[in-house]
Amino acid sequence: MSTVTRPRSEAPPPPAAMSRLLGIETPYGKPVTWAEVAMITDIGTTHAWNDDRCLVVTFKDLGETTSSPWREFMLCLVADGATSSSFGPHVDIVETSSGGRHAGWRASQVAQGAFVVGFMNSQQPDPLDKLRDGLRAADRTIQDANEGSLQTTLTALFLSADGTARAASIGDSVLAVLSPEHASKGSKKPKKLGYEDSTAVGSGQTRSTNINQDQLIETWWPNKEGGSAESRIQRGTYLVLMSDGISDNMKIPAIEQLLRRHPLDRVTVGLPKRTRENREQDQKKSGASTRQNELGLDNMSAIVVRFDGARGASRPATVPRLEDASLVCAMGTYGGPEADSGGQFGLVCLAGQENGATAAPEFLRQFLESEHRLDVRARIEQAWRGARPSRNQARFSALYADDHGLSFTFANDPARGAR
Amino acid sequence: MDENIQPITVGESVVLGFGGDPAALRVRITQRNVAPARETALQKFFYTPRIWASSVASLVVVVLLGTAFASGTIRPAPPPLPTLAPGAPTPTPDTRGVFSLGGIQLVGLPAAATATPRPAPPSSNETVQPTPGIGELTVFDPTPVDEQPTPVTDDAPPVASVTCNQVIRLGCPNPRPVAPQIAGVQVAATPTPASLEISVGGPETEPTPATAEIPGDAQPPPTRQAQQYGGVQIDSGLAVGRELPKPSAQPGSDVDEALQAATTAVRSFEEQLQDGSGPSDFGGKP
Repeated sequence: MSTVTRPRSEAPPPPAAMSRLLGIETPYGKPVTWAEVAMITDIGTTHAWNDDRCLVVTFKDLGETTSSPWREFMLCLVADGATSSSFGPHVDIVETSSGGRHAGWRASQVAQGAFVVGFMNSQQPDPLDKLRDGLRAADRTIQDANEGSLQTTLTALFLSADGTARAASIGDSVLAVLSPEHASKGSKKPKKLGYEDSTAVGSGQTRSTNINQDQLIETWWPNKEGGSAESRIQRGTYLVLMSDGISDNMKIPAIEQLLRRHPLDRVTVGLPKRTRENREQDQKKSGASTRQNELGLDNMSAIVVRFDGARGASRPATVPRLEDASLVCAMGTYGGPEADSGGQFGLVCLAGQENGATAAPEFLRQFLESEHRLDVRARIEQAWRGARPSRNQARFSALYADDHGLSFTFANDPARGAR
Repeated sequence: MDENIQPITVGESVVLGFGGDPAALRVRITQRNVAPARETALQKFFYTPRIWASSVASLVVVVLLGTAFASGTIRPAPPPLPTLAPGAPTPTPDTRGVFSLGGIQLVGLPAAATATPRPAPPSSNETVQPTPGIGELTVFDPTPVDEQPTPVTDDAPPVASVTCNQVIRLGCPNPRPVAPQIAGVQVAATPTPASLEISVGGPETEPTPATAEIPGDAQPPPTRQAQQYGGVQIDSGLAVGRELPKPSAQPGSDVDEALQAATTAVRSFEEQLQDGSGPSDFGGKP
């Protein structure tokens, strides 16, 4: 396996103390109208690489043939590769990097791609069962890849336009749910997932018959603790997924206070900064060093979602209905073996689904897994070649952009498609 | 290969479509710089109660104590009563509950005024308007009075107001003033807003909240000028140029108290005379 250093940004860097966020604009919202999403990743102070990854994927059935909650939904994934992960001796690392044989970044990378495909291919009718299938698929894929000892956490959230929400996780990456009713009386046990710090995707635990699978995979759904039969979340509910770099150093009520007072994107990009400040205060109290490189901060990543609810028709009147097609948008943060690993990317795919399913999930998986191995153009080409046979789809076009200033359009028909 | 990959500029709008299909979507991926959420100094101050909560609590304590001292609820203990000379009138004992600690007295609330018969009933065409003393605080209850006129009888003297010496009504009873009513006279009772009236004397410009319609040549009741300042009504007193009502023997009035004191002194004097222990003359000499 060889690694390719991503090209340096062609765009001017953002001003100091600011972060660069990518936004996807489609006729159906940014990328949806019923939720606002932002994400951030920060390498922290203890690692010279980034094991964390964030991924938000939205699916929209443009033919409007499927029913709720599958007509329009999103998946949010946070993965935190285990620091102890390492490539096996049989894996050839041609271009060494600051990460060396450390493979936490690879574990989270593979897990996210495999999860998306496992979720979409699942035949289970319930989103929660699909989430479980996705986690099992990620676990098996990492094991079967046989690249070494690769393990990662993986927390997944399913959120539909109608408010249907489900979540599942393996490991200690946290899901916090801050519903509007908590605004006045403080959040009541907002941490929903991320209590299991002894489990990991890639350990093969999902295959073990000696482990209670219900305990291995933590699950959450609205009102799971009782109190109401409503299984959908309310408008104004915040869902925060974060790696332990943030959750170990920042209390959820403090995050909630920030979210109630400031715009979502500004809070999101400010979470690593707040975490550093909190860590400095803790270090100062304990008499430890407050130097930035001695704070002992792990990689920090977070996805913040606010569910706003569907408003009116999901398709604007000026937008035609596309038969047998899906719009798949993906936004994510990069991990990697470099000290400057991070940054964001966006991908918009218009995919045919005349055979019942689209090639978009497999395309996304192939694209994610080829990171640090090929340049972006080659990744897109390879991803399409790997995805097309999976669903026997011919219609596909895509737009890619990242915060390093790279952007490409792709279409499988040169006469038509992206232009 | 029918694949086509083209580099474009980030933020450029593109149309995604399928070959041969006129339907297409215009999309783009933009990037923007976002500043982390940061709280201003004012927000930090406002959202950090530990900075200002103690100050506010101290201020509340100061206000409460200041009010209590100013109103006499807490006051220095009076000097011990001098030995009364034989024959001297015994002062009316203060029956209020008193908690004394270190020379400071915490005085209980005054007993509620009890209704006593009027010495003389008012005439039929005269309305008695209680006149608070200058500087006194008169509290009016916002409870609307029954609009059905009720004939007033001599047996049911109205309690028009309750004097309260406290600025913020700490410990003051909640009186229910009765609109001035006269037997056989239509009374228009108007609900009044909650207000504190401070009689300071001055010309009248506004009618009283409760008005009485007096038939014939009856003089309208004297009304007090009231001005509202942010929910606090300041009564500037009775109208200039109008005849002030004569003070009647109201429960708790100075006249009543004087009469009671005089009666007590006379009784004490008579008892001493009967016992033979009293003075032989008014000079107090044996």
